[in-house]
Amino acid sequence: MKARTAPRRLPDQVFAYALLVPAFAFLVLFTVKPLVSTVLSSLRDRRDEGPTLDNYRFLAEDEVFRKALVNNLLFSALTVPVSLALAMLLAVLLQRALRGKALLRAGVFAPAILPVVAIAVIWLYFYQPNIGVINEVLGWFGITGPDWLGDTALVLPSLMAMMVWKEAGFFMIFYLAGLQAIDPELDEASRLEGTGRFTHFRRVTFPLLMPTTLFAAIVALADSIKMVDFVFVMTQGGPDNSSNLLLYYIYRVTFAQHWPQYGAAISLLVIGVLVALAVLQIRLLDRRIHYR
Amino acid sequence: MDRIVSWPDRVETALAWLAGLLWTAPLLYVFVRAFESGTADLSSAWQAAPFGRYYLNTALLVTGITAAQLVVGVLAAYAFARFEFPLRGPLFVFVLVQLMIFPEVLMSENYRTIAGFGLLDTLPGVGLPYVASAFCVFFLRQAFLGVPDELVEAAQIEGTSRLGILWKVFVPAAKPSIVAYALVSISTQWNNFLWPLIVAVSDETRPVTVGLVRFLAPETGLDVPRMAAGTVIVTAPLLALFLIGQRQFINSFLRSGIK
Amino acid sequence: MSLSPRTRALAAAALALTAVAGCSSASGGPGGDGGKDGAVSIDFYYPDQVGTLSALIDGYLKDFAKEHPEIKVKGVYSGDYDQTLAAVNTAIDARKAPALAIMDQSFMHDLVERKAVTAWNPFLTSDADKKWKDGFYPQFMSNSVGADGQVWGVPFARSTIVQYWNKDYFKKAGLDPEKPPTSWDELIADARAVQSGAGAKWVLFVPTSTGTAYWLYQALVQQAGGDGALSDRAGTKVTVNSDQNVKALEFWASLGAQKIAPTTEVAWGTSTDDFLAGTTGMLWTTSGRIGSIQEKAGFDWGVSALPAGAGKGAPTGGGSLMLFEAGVSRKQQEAAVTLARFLTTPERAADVSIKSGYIATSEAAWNTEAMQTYLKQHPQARAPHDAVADAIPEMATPDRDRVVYQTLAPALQAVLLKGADPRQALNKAQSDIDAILKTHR
Repeated sequence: MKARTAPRRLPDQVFAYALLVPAFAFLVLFTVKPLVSTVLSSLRDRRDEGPTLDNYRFLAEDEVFRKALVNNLLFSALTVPVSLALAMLLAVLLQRALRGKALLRAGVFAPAILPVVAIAVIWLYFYQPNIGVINEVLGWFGITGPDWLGDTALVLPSLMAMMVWKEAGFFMIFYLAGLQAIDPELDEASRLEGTGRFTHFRRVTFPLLMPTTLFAAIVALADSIKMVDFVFVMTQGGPDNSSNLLLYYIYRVTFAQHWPQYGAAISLLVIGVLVALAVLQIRLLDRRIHYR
Repeated sequence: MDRIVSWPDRVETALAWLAGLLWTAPLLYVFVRAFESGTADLSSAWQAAPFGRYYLNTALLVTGITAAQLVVGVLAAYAFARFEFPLRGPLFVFVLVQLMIFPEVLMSENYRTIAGFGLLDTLPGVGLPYVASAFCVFFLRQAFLGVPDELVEAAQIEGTSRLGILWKVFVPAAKPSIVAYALVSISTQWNNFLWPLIVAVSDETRPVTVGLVRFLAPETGLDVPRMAAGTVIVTAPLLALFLIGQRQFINSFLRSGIK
Repeated sequence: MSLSPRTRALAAAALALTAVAGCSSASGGPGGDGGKDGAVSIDFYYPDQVGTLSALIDGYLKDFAKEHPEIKVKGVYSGDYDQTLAAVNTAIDARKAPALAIMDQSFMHDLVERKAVTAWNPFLTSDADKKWKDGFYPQFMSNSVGADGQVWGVPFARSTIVQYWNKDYFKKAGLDPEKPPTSWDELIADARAVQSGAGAKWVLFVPTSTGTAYWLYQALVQQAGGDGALSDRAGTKVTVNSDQNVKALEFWASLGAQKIAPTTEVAWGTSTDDFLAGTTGMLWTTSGRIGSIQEKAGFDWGVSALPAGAGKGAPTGGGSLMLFEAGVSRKQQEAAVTLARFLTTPERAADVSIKSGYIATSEAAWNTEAMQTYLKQHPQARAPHDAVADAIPEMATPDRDRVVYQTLAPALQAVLLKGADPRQALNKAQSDIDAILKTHR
């Protein structure tokens, strides 16, 4: 019997590569090529002549950069764990049968889908020292509220609080999914054994949520570096650079000061740190996934 | 067995309600202020800036980018999930690393690339850098990995082509993940501000986020009803969509199995 | 690569969407000259730093369209001065610069250095042209004319710093409500009275936010008897650590120490709202806010020139019209000049002043009937105009963002908000600024 003429078929391997072409085309164009250009640009001076290490020399002495770096480290180091912790707590609270559960979940989640700039405008008003709502409410209790955004010591924590408020709801969904995947029998078993609620959470739930936590942590970390929109709206990096963040500084240097070469040097540093963190997290995550 | 409502239960319930209230209070306040003079503030805000145009831009951007991301992502995820080929591991790590090297951190060079294509101040100029999404590839690969081998074998026996298998077996099986991803991408792109700020300078291309900031011009002082009205205009559609599709949204996340 | 029909369709749809979006949204840049009927199209970028300007400009553009149907103007509102600069820069990079834009004049050095702007001189050939240019108050031209006589900008909405005070508080404190303080000593004395007698939370707001602190500082330096301009004409030499500079900053810091002003940042944008809400009894800010204060004040208020000391005068501010070149043809620039002439006639300048609080840009504008009638009903508007006689140029250097926002402003804020030593902070700022400017000589 004559075999049906099969259409000419690419070998599997070649086919796989072909599938990857669109993705890699865009990655090369908008990640690899710019990355290479950034490296080259960082080695040129303001008149675009080079190569020179001047930008990096300047980076080592730049106080504003140092401030932005410290601010970012604080920002990420605090908002990521706090958002995740709150998200976990909220997920546990809003998972059990509860009247109005859907409404509550919606309320907590809503800020997560709103534009950061809209939230920034809202909170800019709330944080006004003399005419804003927060201090007005505090005034009812006889407390003089501080200048949340105008005090160099308070501005960063105020911004962090706002970000946590926005993001916790988003990660709550991650945890709700994670909780759903936990075998309810475990809950039963604990109850029968008389294990306290909190111990059950600590010994059973929390460890089982680790994969979720790791994944959410990657997203949260990227977000904490990426989201600088509120700086544009609320503080423009001030006062005295106490709310200056790296990505915002890169924007100012590149677009407001017309110094793309120095901006490139700063960007590379930021990318270096981000990649190192990413590789670390991926190793952890991958191990976790394979372990399961 | 009836559960006696115990004290810990009551505390938990109270905490849950407290949290819910704390979280929604700011938004509720804004909505109340926006409507305090009826719809006057809303209509004057709507007329003060071309919000209709801003919305159109946002809608086009958001659907265009998400669609493109899914097309590109589905193909790449298929490759990573179901095929063996040299360098598969390193290439996948390469894609993942892009999770951290997002377009904004390369803003200067991406700006030059887009300018070089003559796409400054156009919607494609805003959207193109986002088309390759590591998150999408990762997420869909997870979903594809979970598809049972039997389904694939059955299709192969029938003689379906590899792309046919992708379309007929994998994509339907991963639908919850695709929907979840699409929703996340839509809301992420809806909220995008910095890159559009740099690239979309005129009213014809501004999305709603940039338009809002221009409209409010915070540097000119705070007019609370105006600010509230503008914020409501920008956020109400998103919130409405969310409230309607909330169950779907959350459920698709839950079913997609981010674990 | 062969794709299944469905995938093909999906990809095509995605591409089509973005293509459609692209076509329908391409800004078309400055358009072109010589349409079917010889029409010229130009882009016009403008900011609004006070909240009243964009509506006015929209109206003028409509009038312009009626008078000059052969010129199509696309007005683009771009935020505040800094945002407008960023938008214009992007347009320049796209080779689609606006033919005309309203810019903060202190950006002049940066723009000239990057060859982004065109001088007006070649377009001012006739006597009528020269009369138009010379009619503007010289104080408003001081930031727009290069050392070589090149004219880079023409005043549109100009301002200076003035002192607003709450007359009701003054009355309550037992002070003469018609007599604002005219010297530093009077200022402190009045402040103490208002604090104890009128129960105002704060007495004087002098904005200290990053984008504007330098401007207020200029005024204080002038009052202390120093050179308030801070920068020289060419923009290459800046002095911020002379004795008068230090004295000015010390005085400013003393306001916080005496609880007359807060020791946290006084934001530019909301300082007017705070004044209107009665949070502060006095406010030093742009004369451009007169419009909104007039509209919204629920109390009796006044406006005067700033107090004087060994010296007097305040820096000018506001926006001027500038011509840009990237991708702009000669014909479009001529159209831009026509638009600029239209926007700056005495009648319109008076209108801008009346409706927004910016200062009439020329004597002719000041003398128009509309302006004089307005003054009879609103005598307060005299004060800003009278203050112009003593006005000094705004601080202007190349690399302005780095020098002013990133070096000088944080130095000032460190002293005012964190108690740093004024002389040390200014010495450091001086050496930092010198280092930056050295690279531009």
